[in-house]
Amino acid sequence: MSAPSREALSSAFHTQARSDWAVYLHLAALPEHPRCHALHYLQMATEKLGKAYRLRDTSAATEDLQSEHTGFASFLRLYINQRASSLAAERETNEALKRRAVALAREVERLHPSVDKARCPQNAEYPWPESDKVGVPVHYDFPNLSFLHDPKGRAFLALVQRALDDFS
Amino acid sequence: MSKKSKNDVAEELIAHHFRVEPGMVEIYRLDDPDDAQAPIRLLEVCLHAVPMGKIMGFGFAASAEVPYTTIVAEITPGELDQLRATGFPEGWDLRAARVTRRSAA
Repeated sequence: MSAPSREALSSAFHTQARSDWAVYLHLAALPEHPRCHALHYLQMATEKLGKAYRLRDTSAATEDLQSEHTGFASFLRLYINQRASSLAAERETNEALKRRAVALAREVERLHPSVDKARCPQNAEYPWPESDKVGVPVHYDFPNLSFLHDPKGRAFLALVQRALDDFS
Repeated sequence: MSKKSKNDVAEELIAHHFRVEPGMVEIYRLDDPDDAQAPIRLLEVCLHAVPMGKIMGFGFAASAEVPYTTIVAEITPGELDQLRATGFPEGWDLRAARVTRRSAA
């Protein structure tokens, strides 16, 4: 059986990331639902977006990508450098934008249950132990992600949107 | 207007990355400069890179600003030392790479 081309695989990850992103935007506008659901889609959208760009590197092993859940923060640094001249004109200086975007991207990466779970067990998907109790995503407010509502958070989200739009 | 050569674009891109990233230490160019179809391939060594413990390359399509496909990965100086000791993965062998260091950029 022949394998799909890297281009097809990369494009498929981008298509799925776009759909995850659309669901994130939809859920984020519905305050009656617990935040974890929207944040889960944000984490999935950004992870797949990073992988879509990563799959263009033909030396990247496709089988490794399924089990990797970090890399988006790394991607954003390179994306900002690559597009710096146009981004800096629209916003802050490249360096400040990059520093903030990477910090925020790492918080989003931690929404995956397997990322940094010893230090930060709270995630958007699965319950986690809390001494003799159990934390549940739908009951948790994710205070470390409250930034999404302030100007820095909006700049971060605009960057994700731009990387989605810039893909092709 | 004629399209810029891949080499000119690669040199401009390397200089641009040194300009916009104060932590950049050195940049290795790994693609064949005589193959205009091959993407520009850069391994960047940067003090501010997110340490991933491996090389993660990301591909950027040709754009108005960079009219050639580009693959870029970023590692820390410590990760570079580690890779020199353990070996580089496929596609990232630095033996034939040309390096630009900050002082020369």
